[in-house]
Amino acid sequence: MEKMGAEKFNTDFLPTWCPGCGNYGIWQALKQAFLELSLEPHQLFLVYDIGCFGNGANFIKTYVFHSLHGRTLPVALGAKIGNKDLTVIALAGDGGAYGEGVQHLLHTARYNIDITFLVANNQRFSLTAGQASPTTKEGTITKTTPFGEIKKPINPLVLSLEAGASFVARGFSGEPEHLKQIIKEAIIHKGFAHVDILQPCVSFNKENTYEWYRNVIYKLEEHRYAPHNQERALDKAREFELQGKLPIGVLYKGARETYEDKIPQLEGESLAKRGLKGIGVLA
Amino acid sequence: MGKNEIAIKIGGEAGFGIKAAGLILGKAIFKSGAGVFGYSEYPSLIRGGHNTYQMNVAAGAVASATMGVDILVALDKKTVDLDKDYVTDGGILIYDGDLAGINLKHAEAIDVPLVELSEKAGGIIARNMAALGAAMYLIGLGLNKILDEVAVAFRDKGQETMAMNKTAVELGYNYLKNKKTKPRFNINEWNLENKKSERDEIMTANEAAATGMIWAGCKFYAAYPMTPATSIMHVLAEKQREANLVVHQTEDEISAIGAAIGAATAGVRAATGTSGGGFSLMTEYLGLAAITETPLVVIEAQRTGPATGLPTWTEQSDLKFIINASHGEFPRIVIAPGDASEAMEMIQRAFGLAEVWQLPVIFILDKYLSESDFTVSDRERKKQEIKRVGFVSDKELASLRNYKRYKITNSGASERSVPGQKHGLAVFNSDDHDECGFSSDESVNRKKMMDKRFAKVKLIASELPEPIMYGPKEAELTIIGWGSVKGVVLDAMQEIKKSSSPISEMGYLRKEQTGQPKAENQENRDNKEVSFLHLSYIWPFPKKRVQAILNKAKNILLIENNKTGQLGELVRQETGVEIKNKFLKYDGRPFFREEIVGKINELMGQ
Ligand SMILES: Cc1ncc(C[n+]2csc(CCOP(=O)(O)OP(=O)(O)O)c2C)c(N)n1
Ligand code: SF4
Ligand SMILES: [Mg+2]
Repeated sequence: MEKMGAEKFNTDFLPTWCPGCGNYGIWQALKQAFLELSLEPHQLFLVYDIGCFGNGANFIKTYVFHSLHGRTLPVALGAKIGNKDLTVIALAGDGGAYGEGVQHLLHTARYNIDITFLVANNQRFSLTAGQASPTTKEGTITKTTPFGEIKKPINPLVLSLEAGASFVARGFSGEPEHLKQIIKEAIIHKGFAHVDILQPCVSFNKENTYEWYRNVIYKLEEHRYAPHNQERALDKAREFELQGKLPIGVLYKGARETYEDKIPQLEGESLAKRGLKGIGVLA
Repeated sequence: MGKNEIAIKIGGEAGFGIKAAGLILGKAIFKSGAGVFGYSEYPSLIRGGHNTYQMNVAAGAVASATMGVDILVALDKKTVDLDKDYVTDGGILIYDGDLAGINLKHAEAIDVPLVELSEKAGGIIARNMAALGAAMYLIGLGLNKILDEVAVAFRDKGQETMAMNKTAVELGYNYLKNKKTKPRFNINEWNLENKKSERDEIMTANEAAATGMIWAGCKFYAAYPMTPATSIMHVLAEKQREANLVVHQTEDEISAIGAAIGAATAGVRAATGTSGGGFSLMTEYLGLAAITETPLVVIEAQRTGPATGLPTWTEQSDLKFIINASHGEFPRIVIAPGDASEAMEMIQRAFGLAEVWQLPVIFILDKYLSESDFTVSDRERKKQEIKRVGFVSDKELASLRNYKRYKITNSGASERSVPGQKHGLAVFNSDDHDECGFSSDESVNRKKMMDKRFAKVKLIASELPEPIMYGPKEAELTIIGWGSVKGVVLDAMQEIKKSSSPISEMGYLRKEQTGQPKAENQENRDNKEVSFLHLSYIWPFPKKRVQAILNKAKNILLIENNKTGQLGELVRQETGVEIKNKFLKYDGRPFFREEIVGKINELMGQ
């Protein structure tokens, strides 16, 4: 779907994901969203996790911070406070977002700082060769769960909704056009925006394939769903567990003052600019 | 303890306002022209337990606590039981209650009905203030001096509270006056006029560091509360609006250092602070700051470990951990100021160094520094000029064809762009990377990048201020120590001098008095010659200077507040010098002056 212009976000490195990997769709949707929002590479600060999805750090031409496993959100928050003019996006896999660094998700949602969190959820630790992750279904056999996973999976959208995220959505990498729309809305939204992206991993998740997803997903907008009620959003977030249907689209969108808007020291020029324009940086 | 010095200690349960009372008394005495050093002890609980605050008050500068106390104000029986044996010959115990059966040996007990007096003033809560009044009377200071300080301390607490506390002070003071008790330690006889500037202040190293951070242009401080680092956050939080900086309380220390790295990457001077436990959690991110070459200041205010240890007690036990923290190899700078003045000065330098060299600077304090009250003279309170360096300007970027964030340079540091600058795109990458920041595991590149980062070390080592040598060039005994042992060693050295010869100002080498940071005093002809090599800029290790001094030293004594003599091990590792005499203390308490004096005398054959 790459339209004219999006290639300006390409680097000299071609993605190293497996052919058919869901990360390609997310990558395309992301670049297209930037283009359609008229965002320039230098206005973007992308903070990547460690993982297959995290390797995307090398494939996108913006300011990029390739962080530690599970530790994207603290860096993203600090950068946003340091320079509120930046469009700040954190990008992680389900292992980093819902396992190693899950506390940061809960708290950053609570702070409601104006950043976007995109999670490629493939229900596996893929870079480390397919172990069970916090979203792996009970009973699933992986190398670390040879007799089947015995833990109950996390429902990430319920977590962030409960924690106070002001924008919560679910996308599917097999629907890049739809995903791009969600990403655009998430970026435009003022406040913490969490997007869980269903991402097929063709190498380590043989169950949740493109086809499997196509059979269970439906688009919320096509069902005249209005994403302004938190209780209804929670119901939607749980729908798969209860009814076997997976809604994609924006589940919740609420107006809540952002963290940075509540800090009077941040009024006016960004902290970075105030400190640096004198020496011709961000002048 | 010298003649022109007294130690006053107030003790009681947590919640009795021990520290508040002590600080008011200390400030009043300080304003009268005397030097004051305040030291507090308390357990990790909010009510009950045993809390004390001790002030050493002297005609000149003083920077350490003594074990002996001249006036012990006991607000409860426990204080009497625990501290009475430390009352000096001719000292006084002020206690409200039955003194029968209390064996005081040489000291005198004075019964002051503190409860009765405070109730008369408006409530038993003001008992600490009645005690203050009594203590003030005993040292011969006028009532007004302390009432002024009470007014300052309670200015936001409402008229009623203020009046109650003032009345309690008056009642305590007048109780002894009316009984015609003779003041014992008349500090008016010390000729205090003009010894100090009116603008000298007492403050903790944490307060001093917070001031220095504001002066250094720190605009973002992220932290999670942990004693004894927390008061830095308290001060900065209070001042954040006027100083235009953002204080962000995080969900944990991992997030704190991560957020500081984010803000620093965005181009803002940023810091985080914690104690050993929190620092342990931060270590992975510390390495990220290193590989992304992000300027970062991390304050580590030590307390006893391992684990929770003694949470409100002091120790210098994290030095080797800090120097080695995080996996992999990378350069860092480690600074350990010896008192509040140095904390104020050196934290400003820390921000400059972090920015020039684009690496983490770890600033070590400890409970003793963080929570003791030091004198910071007007002269020492200096804001350094802020120089923002190491950036590539918008103009340069526009004319460059391909900017490289991690360009290989001779110094090891590369000009950095900040997000938002056109033409300055970069990957700040936790993977090792090429000059643009893209992940690379290619062998030649890896070696180049390691060498680039380590190229900084040589230059840093040659530019860092050298350790300060106090005392004569040739001495019978050379003491070596780092960080917080500074004040107590210098005070002990002075005391030794006093006892072996008439008091000579010349022999006294504290910089507060000489006005100079260095004091290698050759005119000293004393027979008990002790010198002291004090390290603040510890890493990269000042190898040459330490080696030169120790190789020439006749007899070396290592003094450290830890079990294993970590500086001693570093000295051996870096210089090959093995120090045999070690004076180590690791019971959670700092060194008291008598202990150092005793050790020096022991080694000098006295
Ligand atoms: C502190 C730490 N622990 C473990 C790892 C090893 N590790 C790297 S990626 C990863 C999991 C990746 O899973 P996920 O975040 O879901 O990303 P994916 O590869 O599936 O895109 C793990 C465990 C690490 N890099 N750092
Ligand atoms: S292992 Fe899975 S997630 Fe990783 S690149 Fe291959 S398909 Fe994608
Ligand atoms: Mg995954």
